Amino acid sequence: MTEVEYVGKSIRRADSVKKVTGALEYTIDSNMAGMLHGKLLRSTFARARIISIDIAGAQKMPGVVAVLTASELPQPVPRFGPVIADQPLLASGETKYHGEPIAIVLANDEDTAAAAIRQIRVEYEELPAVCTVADALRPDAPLLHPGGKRHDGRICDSNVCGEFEFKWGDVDQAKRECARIIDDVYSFPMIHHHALEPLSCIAYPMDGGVAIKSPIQSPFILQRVIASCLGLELSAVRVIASDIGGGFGGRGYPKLEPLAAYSAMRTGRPVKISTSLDDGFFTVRRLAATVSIQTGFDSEGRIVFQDVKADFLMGAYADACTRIVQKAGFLGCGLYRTPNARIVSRAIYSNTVVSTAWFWYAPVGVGYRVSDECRKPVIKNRSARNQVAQFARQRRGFCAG
Amino acid sequence: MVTFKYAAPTTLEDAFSLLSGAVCDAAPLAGGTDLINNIRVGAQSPKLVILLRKIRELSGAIQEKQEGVLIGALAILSEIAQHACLRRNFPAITESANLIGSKQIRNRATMAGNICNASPAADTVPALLLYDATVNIAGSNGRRSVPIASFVRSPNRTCLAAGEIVESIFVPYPAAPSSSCYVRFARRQGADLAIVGVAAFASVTNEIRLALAAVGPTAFRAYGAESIWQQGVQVPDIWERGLAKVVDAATPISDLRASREYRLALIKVLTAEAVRCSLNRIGTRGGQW
Amino acid sequence: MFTEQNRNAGRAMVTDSIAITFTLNGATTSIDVSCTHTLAKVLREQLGLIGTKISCEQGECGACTVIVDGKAVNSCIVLAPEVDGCEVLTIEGLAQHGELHPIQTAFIEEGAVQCGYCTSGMIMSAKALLMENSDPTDLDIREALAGNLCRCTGYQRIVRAVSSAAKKLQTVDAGSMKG
Repeated sequence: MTEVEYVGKSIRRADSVKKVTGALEYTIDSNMAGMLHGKLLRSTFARARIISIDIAGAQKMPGVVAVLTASELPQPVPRFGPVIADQPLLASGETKYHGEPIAIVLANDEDTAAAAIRQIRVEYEELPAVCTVADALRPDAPLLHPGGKRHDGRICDSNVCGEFEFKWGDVDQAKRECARIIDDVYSFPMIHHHALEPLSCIAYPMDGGVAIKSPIQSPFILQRVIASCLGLELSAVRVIASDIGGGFGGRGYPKLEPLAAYSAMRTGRPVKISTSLDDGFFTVRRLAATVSIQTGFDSEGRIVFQDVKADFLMGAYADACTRIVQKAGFLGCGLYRTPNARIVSRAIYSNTVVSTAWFWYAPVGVGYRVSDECRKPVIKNRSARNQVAQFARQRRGFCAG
Repeated sequence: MVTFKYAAPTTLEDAFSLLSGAVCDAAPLAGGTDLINNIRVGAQSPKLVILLRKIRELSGAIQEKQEGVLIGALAILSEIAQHACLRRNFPAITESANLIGSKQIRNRATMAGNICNASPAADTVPALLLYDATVNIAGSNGRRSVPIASFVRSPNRTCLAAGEIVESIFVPYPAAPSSSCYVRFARRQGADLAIVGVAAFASVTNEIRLALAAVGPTAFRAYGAESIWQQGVQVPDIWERGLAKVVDAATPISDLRASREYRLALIKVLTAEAVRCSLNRIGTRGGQW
Repeated sequence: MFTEQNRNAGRAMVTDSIAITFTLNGATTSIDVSCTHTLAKVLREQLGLIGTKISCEQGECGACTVIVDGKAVNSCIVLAPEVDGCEVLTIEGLAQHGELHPIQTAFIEEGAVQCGYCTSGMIMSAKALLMENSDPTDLDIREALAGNLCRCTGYQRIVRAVSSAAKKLQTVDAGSMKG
């Protein structure tokens, strides 16, 4: 047999020496000559109207080069997003989640930027917010993006941004024919990826465009999103994807980079926006979900149908959630052979932190929950349990496809 | 970043002049594991931070005296936890010190700092309560000593007056051969805070002492239970009556770590474990419960 | 007891910045530091030693672990002035003459490094442990590293790496004692 060079061999990671000696430069470790430090002022309400922002005190601090709010940006405020460009660089008119950036201070050093943030005075009018699936779907619920575009291009007339249906067979017929039906509702909380490297990014003007260094997991998407948001050609945006101090899906999509890129082009200087590890909780989360599953079994314990409704709490802006929710939908029956199925998954806006992928487009355990359903009827029936276990072992008979 | 000024006095006199002479808030810095983070999050905003480590009258030494052990204000938890004499004579103290934070925290944090921070969950306080330790205080008006039970007043408050600092903690040897034990329940093994902490003491003269942390505004001795158990802690009925007194004396709250009900249930389990452990350590059989 | 002279002497000591001298990775280092800056900030920004990482900034995660006077500490909650007169060892001080320290080699060989962000802190905690205990059990290792969080590896390989490094160092010591 031919000797192989890599397969079956223990190969050292290419970057491991740098990592064990502390020589690897993560974005948080990077600095550039003439760099401005950017610090963010964040909203402290789930939803509020911004009545006024007084930046005069911050502007006149020595070492502060610029203070930007939505008013200082081009109008309408540039928006970004990998699927729907709905997230403004800075909150405009209304803040839509607790922690949304509403101002940025750009200063010559980090301490000055942090001190200047504390000089900004904001007057808010708190507004009713929707922070659960149930609240967001109420007929009288305030809309996060009235007049905004849904995933399918239609105009939003509710907080549902995307709705995906997968079906085969005839679920309604199957419901009439099966021996036993189990119904349950599962809920998944929002969790935070909590990579150890606090998020930061550095942007600098370059040849009429901009370069951006970030621990982004998907550099080409970042390039496209920044180009689109700032009205640049793709060739005018250079992305340097630095080694990440953990990502887990939380660094998949643009967050602070578009603002850093805009700030760099506006000031003509490199800009580093750095945040604390705590700020991560205000930046990105995993989707929360409420999943109702109805499963029908025949008298021998085989699945006859699945009727799944999965509602995902997306947060204030879409990020990549519509795609994630769509994929969660088509994996909604898990590993089981299901002759009749109807899966409806919805991505719903809410006044909560923006959600995104978790590891990969994990279907939030919808399939796993289906496994739970299958175990339930057999708890009481030992022989049926043995049968289900046997079926599970015979992948051919039990797994989809 | 919050701003403050800094001083590193070399004598107590200089330290007092800074602490009480200052118009502004001054905070003493020993290990800094509470102070520095409190400053960062805005829970404390001193205008002046005073390093204690260079003050020549303060010591990190753990001195074995005739009547007990004198633990210097600057003695760090990792050294307290490993100290042979303390481990032999006051196991609850070394065990409690060893559970605080992580290795990195214990290598800076001091026992004096732990009692001064006076968190209701402070692990060393119940252990010190078992032995009626004395807190030696120094201030610009002179020195005084206070029993540990009177030192901690309420959550994050002690009896220290402005300008006073802890100079040392004295733990007297018990009159009769004895042992002790500290057990706590937390969500994880490793850096965490106590959900419930129980310190127990047993002596060959059938004396049982018990102190609890994280189930009241301050740690406390369960004197009511102790006097019942005097009659025979291993008699089931006497044990139960004493245990009921312990639960009665506790006023746990519900917080992000546990509910009130869970803490009340834990008290029973941990008290039994701590008392059993202490009895085992002095060579008495652990009893039927 | 408490005189005007005392008060003046006291005030004279109060400062915003201070000159400190300490041993850093074996070399005597004298610098001026702002009194509000942590050791981590000074190491990274003033001295350019980025190997010590910033993460939680509250002494919970251990990414910033360095060794001060032989003991592992969280440099994010040590004020820079506090290390005046101390010996400080950072990750950059481990490799000698271009050769990796056995702990560093063990981390590589055991696959204990993924994103690498916790790695410096883990290695420094391991170093501190092995300075005190040359034959640690797995429990000893886990206790020593309890203040170092990792979001990638699940810790098993890290524990194996420390154990493997301990054995390597014992062999080295035994070897050198013979000679």
